[in-house]
Amino acid sequence: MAILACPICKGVLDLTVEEENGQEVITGSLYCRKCSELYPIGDTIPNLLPPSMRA
Amino acid sequence: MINIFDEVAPSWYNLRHRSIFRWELEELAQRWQTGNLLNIGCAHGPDFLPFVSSRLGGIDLTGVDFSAQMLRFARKYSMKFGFVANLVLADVRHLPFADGVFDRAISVATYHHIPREIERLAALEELRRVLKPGGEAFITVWNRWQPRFWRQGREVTVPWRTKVKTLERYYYLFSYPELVRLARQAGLKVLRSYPENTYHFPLKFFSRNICLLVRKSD
Repeated sequence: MAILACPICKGVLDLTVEEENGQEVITGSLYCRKCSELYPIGDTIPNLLPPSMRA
Repeated sequence: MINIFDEVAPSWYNLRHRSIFRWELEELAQRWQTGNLLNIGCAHGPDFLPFVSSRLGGIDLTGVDFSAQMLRFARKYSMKFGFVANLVLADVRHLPFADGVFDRAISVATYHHIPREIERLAALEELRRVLKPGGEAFITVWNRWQPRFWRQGREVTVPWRTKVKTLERYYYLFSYPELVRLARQAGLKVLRSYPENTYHFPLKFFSRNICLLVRKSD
């Protein structure tokens, strides 16, 4: 999804795909260069909670 | 707070299977027939349905929630009812979207779970930020002046009983003027404030819910 942005700085995220099924990313990550923060994608759902709220 | 909604999720999926704002949302689906829609605090996704059944040109659906369990049920729900929604684990006070990307948004019974005014305002400012200029949103929260809460303060906890335990959910109770003021403070134009469709008393101020239709100015 091109509309996704870093929850903190609202900057662009770099997508890394680990596993996909054609249309959908199943696992991978989104990286914010400005914040040096890695946001995981698990089970097709990106976890873009602020890092302080991650379980 | 996150854990509570993770624990509420399985029984919520069963007992709140259909949206209780179906009439209000269907009315909006008539008004909003194109573009994309963000569902803020989507839970297991029942409030998406009115926008699925009435789709003509097709409206692109995205949902955020801060409970991973709720989103797992949302995926199950979308498969059951045959629709596609992009689901993102996120906090409504820190939306993970670029500025001005959504034509419409809905937020059903979400903002009354945020404990501090500065954070409730932050959440509404985030809603405004992600809307396109001219974009519209529907907000609904519980009303402080419904008879059920007359003897209570602005903050209440309401139990949700599962088979194994009772979970206490936090609610901040808004009044009509207060929600309108906060939306304006966040830079949103209030088009309409109204009670739920099932409320028939002429004076809206004692309704169970406060509904707001807002717009981000061009």
